[in-house]
Amino acid sequence: MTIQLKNISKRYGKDISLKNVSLTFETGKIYGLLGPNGSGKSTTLKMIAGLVYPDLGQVEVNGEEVTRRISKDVAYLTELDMFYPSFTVGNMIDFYASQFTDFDRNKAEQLMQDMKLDSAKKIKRLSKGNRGRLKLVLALARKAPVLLLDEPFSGLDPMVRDSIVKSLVSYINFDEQTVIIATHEIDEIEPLLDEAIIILNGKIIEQENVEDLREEAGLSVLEWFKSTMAEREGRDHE
Amino acid sequence: MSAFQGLLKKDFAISKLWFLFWLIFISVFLIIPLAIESYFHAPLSFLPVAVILLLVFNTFLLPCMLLSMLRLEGKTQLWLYNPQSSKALILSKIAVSFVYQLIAQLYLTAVGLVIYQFYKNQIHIEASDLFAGAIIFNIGLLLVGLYVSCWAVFYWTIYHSLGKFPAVKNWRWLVILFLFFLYNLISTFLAKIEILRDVIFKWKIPVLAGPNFNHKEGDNWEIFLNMTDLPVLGLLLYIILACGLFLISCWLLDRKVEV
Repeated sequence: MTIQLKNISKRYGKDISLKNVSLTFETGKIYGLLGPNGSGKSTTLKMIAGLVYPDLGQVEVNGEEVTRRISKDVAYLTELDMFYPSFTVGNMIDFYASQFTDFDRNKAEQLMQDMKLDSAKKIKRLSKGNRGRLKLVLALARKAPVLLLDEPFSGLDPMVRDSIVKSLVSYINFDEQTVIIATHEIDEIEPLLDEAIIILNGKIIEQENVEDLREEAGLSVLEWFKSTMAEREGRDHE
Repeated sequence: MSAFQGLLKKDFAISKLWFLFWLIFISVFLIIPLAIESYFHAPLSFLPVAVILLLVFNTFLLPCMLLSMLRLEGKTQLWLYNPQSSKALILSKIAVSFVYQLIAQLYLTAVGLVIYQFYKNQIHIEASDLFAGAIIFNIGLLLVGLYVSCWAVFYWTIYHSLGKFPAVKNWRWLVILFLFFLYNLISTFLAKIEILRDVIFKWKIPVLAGPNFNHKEGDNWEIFLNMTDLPVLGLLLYIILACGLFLISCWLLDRKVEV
């Protein structure tokens, strides 16, 4: 499923969140949307999920203009808390299973076992780490052609981060899913990425194939990111 | 479980505690006059009034429950991350709130009927009038609750749609107030036009409504139910208006409200 952002601009008052952004995401690839806080990563993902609309330009998934109801094809993990506190883990799984036809209960149970989540536990009693794990269960248990992960490691300890990366490797369908991971913590996801995109102040400043980066430039994604940002800062100072 | 059943189950789960508090509140509100009556040996001096008052308050239970649920969802607006239509998302909340209002009304009506059974001799009303009146009164309250709810959803979606415009974000309440007064101004103006009034009142259905309560000597109550003419076209206009408000709200929720 191809995702296209065509000349997208979005402002929040005086703040420019995205400025004339054009991007294409292809099926079977894992993209890293990298950039510092406030660079426009979350807005980009929300736009693909149909939760925010562009002021200018168009967002299309498989040639169809994105609306809120694109969520039938787009699994989205938000950095926000998306649960109802009175729910148990099991209630949340049941709710997702009732709303999303592609939700696979067996996969969800397997994921819950892997992540040691108790379905009877109230969500308000879960630690931040376990809430992060539950968000991942809900996103990965869907057989959606598009998977969007917004800061999946935000505020989580290294053990949880490690288990999340393992789950991503085990449960992503590498041939059929388009995966976009927005993060400013590059270390963890680096081994997963096919393409890396740097976004800064609402503009796409660089896009590279990760394999080319490693083989031709001899750089890791983190090194490339740091050097690009340093170069950009230097240019801004001049 | 179908998608709509899932929505109903979720909406029920997030609101059942509030409803439980409401039931406790109305029970306390009934016990207090009962205790006062018992203390002063003055049966039926406060309780019937309390029951009627609570039934009238119940008109606002439906919109209040609905707004409480929307307020909870509005904190993140992530409930919009859902492939169901906006109609289904809102209808589920209206249906759950409607059930709450129905239960509360049935509870209060049952209390009213128990009072009637105990004090039949002191309440002078025809039994058939009492039942017909209770049914019509309850249906009326439910319909008013639904109508007010459509306005509540409409104002809520307008308020949240304006949230994406920073220039008016802090003044959204004024826009809502302006719309409220504008509608009332227009409807008052239209109601004064004689030709319109004649057309609206052309077809009427007589219903038993408009109760009159008389507290007589010896702690007796005399209740009359007057026949009132209900304008069919007026009722139809309110139904059309409520549907219109609901559809506009769904449209706004699909296209203008952002996370």
